[in-house]
Amino acid sequence: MSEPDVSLLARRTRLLLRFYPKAYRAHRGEEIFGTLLETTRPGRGWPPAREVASVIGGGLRARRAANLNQGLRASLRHVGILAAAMFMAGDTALLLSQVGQHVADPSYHNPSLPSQVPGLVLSSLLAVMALAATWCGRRWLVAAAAAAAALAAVACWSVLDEWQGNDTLLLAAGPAVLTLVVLLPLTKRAGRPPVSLLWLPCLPVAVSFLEGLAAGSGLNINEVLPLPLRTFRLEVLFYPYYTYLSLVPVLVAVCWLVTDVRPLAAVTLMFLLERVFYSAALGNRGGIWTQMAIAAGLSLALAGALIWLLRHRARTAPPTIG
Amino acid sequence: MREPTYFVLAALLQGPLHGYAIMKRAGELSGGRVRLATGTLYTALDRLTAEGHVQLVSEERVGGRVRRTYGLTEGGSAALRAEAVRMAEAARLVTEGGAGPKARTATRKLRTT
Repeated sequence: MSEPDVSLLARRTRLLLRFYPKAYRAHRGEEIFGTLLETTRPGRGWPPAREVASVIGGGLRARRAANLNQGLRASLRHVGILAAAMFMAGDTALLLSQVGQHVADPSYHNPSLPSQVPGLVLSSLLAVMALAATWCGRRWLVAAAAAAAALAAVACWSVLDEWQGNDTLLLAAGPAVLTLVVLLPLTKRAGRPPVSLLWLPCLPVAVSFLEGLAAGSGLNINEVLPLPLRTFRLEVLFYPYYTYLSLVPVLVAVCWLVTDVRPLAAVTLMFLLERVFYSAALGNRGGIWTQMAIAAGLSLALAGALIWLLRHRARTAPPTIG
Repeated sequence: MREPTYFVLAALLQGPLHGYAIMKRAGELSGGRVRLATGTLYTALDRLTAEGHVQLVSEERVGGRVRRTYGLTEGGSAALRAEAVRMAEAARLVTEGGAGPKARTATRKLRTT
């Protein structure tokens, strides 16, 4: 095998190993890497297909075992953090969607938007900072950033003519304050949530900004999506996450089935939190009882599944290393 | 005991081996029927190590890469032999028409009456 072939194969094999959790890779990574190279015939750029499939399967099993071995209390704390982080990220995503529209087309439909943009950007950055601080376990930075995000949101809404006193105040500052109330007691230096869960709150922020850019440029993303993704949209139930284009519930379901119950439990809890919040803020309690009942039922079912999985981990999960 | 696990343990019966050698040996012993893939092998080794059937014997660097050698423990050896006996009993059920000492005694009694 020539030198460039070896280097390409090694790079791809190392990429494949990323299916395993970091702690497992630290212990076993080099050993598996060596074995994979030995099983690959000279001249090939990738390990054989069955080896690739077995590494993906082994990696996901190791991730699942690592997640289950954390225990019930830590898992529930992570579910709470993730739900609050997604709630805040959903709110930030909507703000960024408007900023994206403004960047792509400054004359885009909302005439008061230009005066709001600095406040929206500041509020979004502070919210993202609060999320980052949560993942770093910095409790007081979470408090400072979330409180500042709430103030910035109020400031940017107060320039609007449609300001309607307490209702607008609740809508502007509510998400940041509510998130702060949930995140503050759950954030700890020891036992920080795993980085592998961070994609869940980050995805709507990035997608919303890009979708805002596309909408400002006159492109309707929903019209260019493949049909199954369009028909799967459930924005009535998943309101703050409608910019996800319904892809996330599918990804989360897959993630849950093969590795971890926490993301799906967090998504359900977030929907419940969001429904309760908007029913209080907007006062339309009657129309959403069914949705709340579904979300509450799903939360209970998932909490039950989580407890069952944790109790049976000794029988169902392979041991973790690292 | 599942067939791949049985052949992983059987591969180590002659002496300690490293990962790739275990895969090759298991394939040879099973006549090519058991083709262990890398991910499956290391998941099995993790489990067998945790159960005390396999242990790490040595660790060396070959061409800049870690190579670990695994061997059978006494418990692993006993579990393998117990499984072999169980399978032999099961095979005799078909080849000799009896399921073991009790079944053979019962068959003999039937013949004498």
